[in-house]
Amino acid sequence: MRYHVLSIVLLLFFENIAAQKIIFTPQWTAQSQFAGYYAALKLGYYKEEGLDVEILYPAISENPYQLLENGKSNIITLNLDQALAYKANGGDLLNVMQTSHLNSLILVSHTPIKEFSVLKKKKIAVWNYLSDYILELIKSKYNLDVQWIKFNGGVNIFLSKAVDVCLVSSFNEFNKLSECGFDISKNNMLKLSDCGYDLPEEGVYVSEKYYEDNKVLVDSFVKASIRGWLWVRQNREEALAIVWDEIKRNKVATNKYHERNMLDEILRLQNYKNSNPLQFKLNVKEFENAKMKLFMPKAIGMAIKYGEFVK
Amino acid sequence: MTRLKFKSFATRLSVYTIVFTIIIFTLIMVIFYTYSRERMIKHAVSHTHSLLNNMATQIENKLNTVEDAVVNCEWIVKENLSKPDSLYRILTSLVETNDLIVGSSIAFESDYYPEKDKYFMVYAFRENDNVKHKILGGKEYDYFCMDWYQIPKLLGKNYWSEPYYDRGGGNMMMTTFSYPLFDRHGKLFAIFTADISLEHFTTLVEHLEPYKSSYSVLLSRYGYYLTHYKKEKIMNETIFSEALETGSVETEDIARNMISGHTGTIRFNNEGEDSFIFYTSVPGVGWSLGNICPADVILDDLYSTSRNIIILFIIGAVLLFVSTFNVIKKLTVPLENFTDSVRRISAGDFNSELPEIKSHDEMCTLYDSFAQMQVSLAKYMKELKVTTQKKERIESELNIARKIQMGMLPVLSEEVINGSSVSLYAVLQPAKEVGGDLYNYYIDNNKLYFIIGDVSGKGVPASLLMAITCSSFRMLVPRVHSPQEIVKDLNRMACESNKSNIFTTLVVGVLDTATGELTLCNAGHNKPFLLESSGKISVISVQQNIPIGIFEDYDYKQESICIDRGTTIFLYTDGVTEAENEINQLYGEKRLKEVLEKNKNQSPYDLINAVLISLAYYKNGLEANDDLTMLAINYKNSIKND
Repeated sequence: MRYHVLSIVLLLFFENIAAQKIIFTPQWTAQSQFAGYYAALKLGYYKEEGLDVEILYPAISENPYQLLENGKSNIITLNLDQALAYKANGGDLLNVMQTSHLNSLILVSHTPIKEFSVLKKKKIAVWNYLSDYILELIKSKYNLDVQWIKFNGGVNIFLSKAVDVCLVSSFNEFNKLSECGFDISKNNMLKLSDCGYDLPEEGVYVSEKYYEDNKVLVDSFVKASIRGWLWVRQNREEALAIVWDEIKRNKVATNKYHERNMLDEILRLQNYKNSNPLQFKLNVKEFENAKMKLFMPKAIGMAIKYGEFVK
Repeated sequence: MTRLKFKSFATRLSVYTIVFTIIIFTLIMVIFYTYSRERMIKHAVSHTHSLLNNMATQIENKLNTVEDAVVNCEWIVKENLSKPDSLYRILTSLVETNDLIVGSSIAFESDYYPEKDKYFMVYAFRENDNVKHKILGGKEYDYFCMDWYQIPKLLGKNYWSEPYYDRGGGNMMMTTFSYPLFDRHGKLFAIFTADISLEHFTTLVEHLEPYKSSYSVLLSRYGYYLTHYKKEKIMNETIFSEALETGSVETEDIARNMISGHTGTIRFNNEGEDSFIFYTSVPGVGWSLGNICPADVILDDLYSTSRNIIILFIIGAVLLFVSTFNVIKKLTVPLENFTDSVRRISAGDFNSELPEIKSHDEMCTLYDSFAQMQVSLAKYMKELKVTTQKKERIESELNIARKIQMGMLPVLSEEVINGSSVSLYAVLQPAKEVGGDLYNYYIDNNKLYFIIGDVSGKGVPASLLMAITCSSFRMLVPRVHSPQEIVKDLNRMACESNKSNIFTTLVVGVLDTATGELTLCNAGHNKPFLLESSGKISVISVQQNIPIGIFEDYDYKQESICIDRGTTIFLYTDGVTEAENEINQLYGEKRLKEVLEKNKNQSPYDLINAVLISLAYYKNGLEANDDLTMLAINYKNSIKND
């Protein structure tokens, strides 16, 4: 009996010693957008990989890249355009997992919009975490004569008519507009993917240095996260319950109807050309297409190699 | 459909009364319920809206005091812009002097003070009953991107922010009033804010309960629940998300009305419960205030009143039925007694005692009528008895007279004279017991004397004259051999004794059976038919004389014809041809002739019977209205002398 107790104590001791601490920072506060990571954590997938994952949410004005840069976080999520922009600007970033293969960005307006040309001189609200660099890239690439208005989030700035147009995601703010009683006419919205801006979005990123030092850890994190996402896809209601627990723990103001819709849309965005099995890696085609759509022909960003960006 | 069968008058009347009462009551209840429901709903609308308006005004007034406080500080702020580090004093004073304000700030535009950082925001806030201050702004608190700063800046006007939870300040729900500050050139240089806690308002709204089980909600500009009895909805759900989740179009309509700042009342299905929502807006801030109340609660008084009325009615109806039944039963007891009495009276007990009636109502009148009827019936029956006795006696006498009269007529059988050269048959059917028709015959040597007649009128007078005429004929024939002389004598006798102006039609004839000579004297009588052996049927057209009993000296004429053997003489009275059917049509000579034609070869007996059958068929059971007599004489073979 004494040996059994000793064995258990030693096992727990070495397990704790072995579990590697990882601080993971998603792009936003707790919501269904990150259901796969919550599931992997809750179901012990990370633990099974020997990881001790802690989720650190960014402050409302913070960009996850800032946390990665200053070492407060080890692994973050970012949209591909942001990541490429940081990379082109000398940023230290590696894409280790691609969760979203479709673009969710939509421009909604108080007046009809059919194409980018009608945006001339318009005030367009965009998220604060988007860097000036990427905004200028888009502006110059698509020859947009617009005024970017940065805001922290939500839809109040648009609903109050302080801006003419607002950039929203199909899984979050777009639904929120309906939930605030805004009637979205098809004539008053423009999907960026329909205008050629069909960049994949969310991916998981680490710094090159961290990856070199912790390749196994990162691979384990990716492996467990994929398991988490696959489980979510098969168990949506249970996944929503896990998300809801996380939301309550972080005291985020939202509701289940919104989160359910968000999860459905997030899972849709993950499904690249109905691939089976699901792809959680950014492929070369997507990468090259993103560069073409984001950078001018002679821009520095065009020199970024797939192998240097994707692991 | 089966009709209800009631065994008693009392049950029927009681059921009718109660059914009628139920119908009237139901109609009254429907009208009462409809009218009262409308009144109660109107009252609820008026009452609840009054409370909501008061509440909205109260909230608006308090918000106005905050706006006024900030606006009133504008000039002081502008006076002290040169001393940025002392601005906190203005803010501290503002917070200290306004209970609602829990924090106030002046957030300057980027690089407004070159000596300061890009961000410069002075903030005074309430903490543990003290007002403290600090400088905010930076990458971690990038206020340029925050709603309270950016929206009023872009709009260029005051702005109440959407309510939010202040995580750092004690988990309070707050809203911020933002007031843009412009320099003398109209350029915005800062946003002046006042943060207020919504606790005060939400508590007020939560306690707004016009009806038991009702609850109030406060919605933000974009439909977020700021108060709700389900705490998990507050700041998490909007009225639209609830509508979208449940798929309730009603709720969505309500949400749009409320968010549009309308005032109104809508009846809707609230999670399966029929409810009312009363709503109004809080102008200025764009909020909406509503109270949701189950319809049952509003109409509870009406329901309980209606329920009590119905219960009382049911009890009343039962009592009414029982009492009505008993009263009617009691009232109709005399009727039952009358029924017994009537039954006894109808059984012949005219002296049966009638039930005693003490009241002076219709029953008393009925009693009087019954008593009078009883007396009348007794009297009538007594008279009827006497009359019946008289009638019986008369009938008896008439029967005797009938027998006597019939006895005066020859026996009804075929008569064969002198070796059957003549056969005859006759029938007489008086319309009454005795009649005025007559026939007779007499045989003298080879001659057959016969007579047929009809005394005018019917009954006893006619029968007496018939008897006289008959006996006179038989008395005259042995000594007077000519028919015209016989008729003359009969006329003379009739005129002598005729004080009543009764006349008689008759035919007197004599058939010489040896020669076939037939002599007839017709005194106003129907012309006889002659059915010849050759098959020809004709009327014997001898001279017509007037009936006897009119002119004493009238000279009656006779005529003679000669008939062949096998010929039948058919004589009859007008009772034959004037017999009527149901539609008062006469039998007539034509129809008689047709019957004779069909039966011309028959014996007198069969011939007369054929006519009788034809008449019976024609009259179809109707009583004869006149005496009927037929006499048929068949002249057959040669006569052998005795």
